Amino acid sequence: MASDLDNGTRQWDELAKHLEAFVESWEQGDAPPLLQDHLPNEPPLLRCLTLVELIKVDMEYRGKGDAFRNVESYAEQFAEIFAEEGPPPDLIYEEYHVLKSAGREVSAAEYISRFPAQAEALRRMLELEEPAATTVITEQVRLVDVEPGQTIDDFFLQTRLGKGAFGSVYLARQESMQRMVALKITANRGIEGQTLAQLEHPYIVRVYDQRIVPQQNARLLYMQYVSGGTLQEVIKYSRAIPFIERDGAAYLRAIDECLTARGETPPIDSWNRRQLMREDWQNVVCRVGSQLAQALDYAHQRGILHRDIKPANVLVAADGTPKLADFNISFSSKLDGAAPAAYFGGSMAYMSPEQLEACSANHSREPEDLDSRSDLYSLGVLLWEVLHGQRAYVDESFTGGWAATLDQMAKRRREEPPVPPEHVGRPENLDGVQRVLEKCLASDPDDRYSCGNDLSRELALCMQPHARKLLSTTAHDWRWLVKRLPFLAFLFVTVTPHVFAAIINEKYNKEVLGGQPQEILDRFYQAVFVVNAIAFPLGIGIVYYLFRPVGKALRSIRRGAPTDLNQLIPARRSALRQGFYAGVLGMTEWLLAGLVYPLYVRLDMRESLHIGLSLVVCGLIAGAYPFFCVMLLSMRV
Amino acid sequence: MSASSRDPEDETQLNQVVLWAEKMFLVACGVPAIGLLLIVTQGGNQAGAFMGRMAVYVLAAASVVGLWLCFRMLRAIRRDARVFVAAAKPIDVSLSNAGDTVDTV
Repeated sequence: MASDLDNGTRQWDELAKHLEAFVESWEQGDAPPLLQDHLPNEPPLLRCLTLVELIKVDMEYRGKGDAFRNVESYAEQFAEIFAEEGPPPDLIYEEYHVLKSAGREVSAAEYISRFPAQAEALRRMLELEEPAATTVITEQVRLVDVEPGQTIDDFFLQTRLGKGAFGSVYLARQESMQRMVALKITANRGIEGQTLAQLEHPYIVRVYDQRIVPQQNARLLYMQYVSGGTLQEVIKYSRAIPFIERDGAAYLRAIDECLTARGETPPIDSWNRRQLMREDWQNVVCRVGSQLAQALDYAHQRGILHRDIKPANVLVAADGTPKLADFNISFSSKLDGAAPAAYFGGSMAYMSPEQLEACSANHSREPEDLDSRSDLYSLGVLLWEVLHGQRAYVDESFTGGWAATLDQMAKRRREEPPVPPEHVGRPENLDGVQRVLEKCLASDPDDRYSCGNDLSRELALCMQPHARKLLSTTAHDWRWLVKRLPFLAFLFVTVTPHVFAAIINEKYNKEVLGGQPQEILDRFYQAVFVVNAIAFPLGIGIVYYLFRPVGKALRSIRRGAPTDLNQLIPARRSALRQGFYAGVLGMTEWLLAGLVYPLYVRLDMRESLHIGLSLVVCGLIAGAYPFFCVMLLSMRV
Repeated sequence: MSASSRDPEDETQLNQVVLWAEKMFLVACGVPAIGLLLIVTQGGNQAGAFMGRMAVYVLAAASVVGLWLCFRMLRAIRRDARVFVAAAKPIDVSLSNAGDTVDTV
């Protein structure tokens, strides 16, 4: 399993290695390097992908001189690779971009007529007003001559923490401030730094500032150093142990391993760590997920999408707190850094179907169409992987060209709901988290959580078994019966105390009136009959009348009909008043009877007092007991 | 319905429900109290024979059990109300100071 999951990352590293070597050959050699010398032999799809990226680099270098080659000449040279589908649109666009940047006359119509098979994709690309590079890999590769041990600007680079599609991150010492920072070195493009600096949230890595190095066209973005590794390392660690042994302690052990590997000592006394130590694995996932969802909600409210959520982009503090990093806000069009190759480092597996479509040049969906729900989908995939130790979809490998791979991945996400793996010793309370994650992974964005805050709340509730049970929409206990027959259930709990009170009252008063003349007894039973004949039907009628909106809402929910919140909220409020109605109504009827009986039967003071008191007791029973029973039902259905 | 209608205005009504429940619990306390009064006053009543006394004793016993049940339900209502109020608000699962103090090299 691990090998499958890491396959994408390994291939990415391989690709980057070939590109680095090619750029180095261009920089150092007198003559243009040969493409075939830098191509891997196997696997064929990696060979194809590498060739496309190498050609882009080659074009850019040649575009600066006189030895420019067009796409057709490359296609002719590597006919065995391009024969089937022809040159990819992003490669064709690269030629257009290079020529236009060099100040040459180029027209969109010419390209569309030259490449009719790619016309549709080209038309979309060429509609862009500003030409943009189709790859960020080249720019990144050009920055690789910065190595740990060197100083760049104000920063002494200690070690490389990571490397991705958009740059490299180093642990560095900022000399002027004498502090450790995480330094991200990227090409100087976009407004990422300014935007990220606006994000101040406990679960988002804090960006301090940025500096530009014009000589290298590089941007140095320096930010808070988070020392406990990434969720990627946590997942790797958890995969190595059985599901039943995964818990908060294992989560902390994974962090400690990262700290130790970097020569740091895990904190001895931390309240956060003590809390995590007691958690089971589901709660760890819920806690981490809830915190990340809050971070996303915060960013989304400021109009910033992350667009590249994956375990490697979630840093973990030494005390276990996750922090979202690497906001891919420079992703602004199909071309500007969004070429599929830029994501071939493990990101695609976490993308929503709509984001995969937006990445595809063959699809009409635009990246601007994406919204916060796409990020929530990615977070769902990430949490699924943390929870189960394996991805919801293990398919980030080349099964065809870019278009075929992206289309296949999007199709699978749209048509096949993920199936959770079976775990030995599977805990019962896994179901709640599972349901939340399944909702995150809904293929239709309308079926997902509408915002990060909603997801955060659901995950937080999953940490409280009682709350989860109470707020669950699929009750499998007595609530199911109440939902099926709501009025009968409410009537039963309302009337039962009345019947009990009536029996006790009848027995007691019969004895109290034992020595009275027959006429008095007859009048008493007459009163009992009349009062009960009026009070019970009247009470049931009033209860039914007051219960109608609640019953209607429950019936609507049971049938699965879309329920308008404008109807549901008043119904809910009405439900919360049912107990009050039942209590007050019941008590009032008995207390009125307590006045009617002695007056109608014409008893003396002593008997009147006894009968009155007994009816007061019945009134209290008929008020308090139905109130509690009805209120509990109202709150829980 | 409990799961699908978590509007923030629920809080006012849920607080009201808890308040009613507390008052109704006092009402429920009145059942054994008046039941006891009936037993005491019936002691001098010659007419109050065996069945009458039995009814009062059953009432007294049932009212004690009922009072205990009411107490349990009061607690459940309070707890449920807390859950609903929490569900309608943004939930903070933060762990103290979010890791800032331990990120030292």
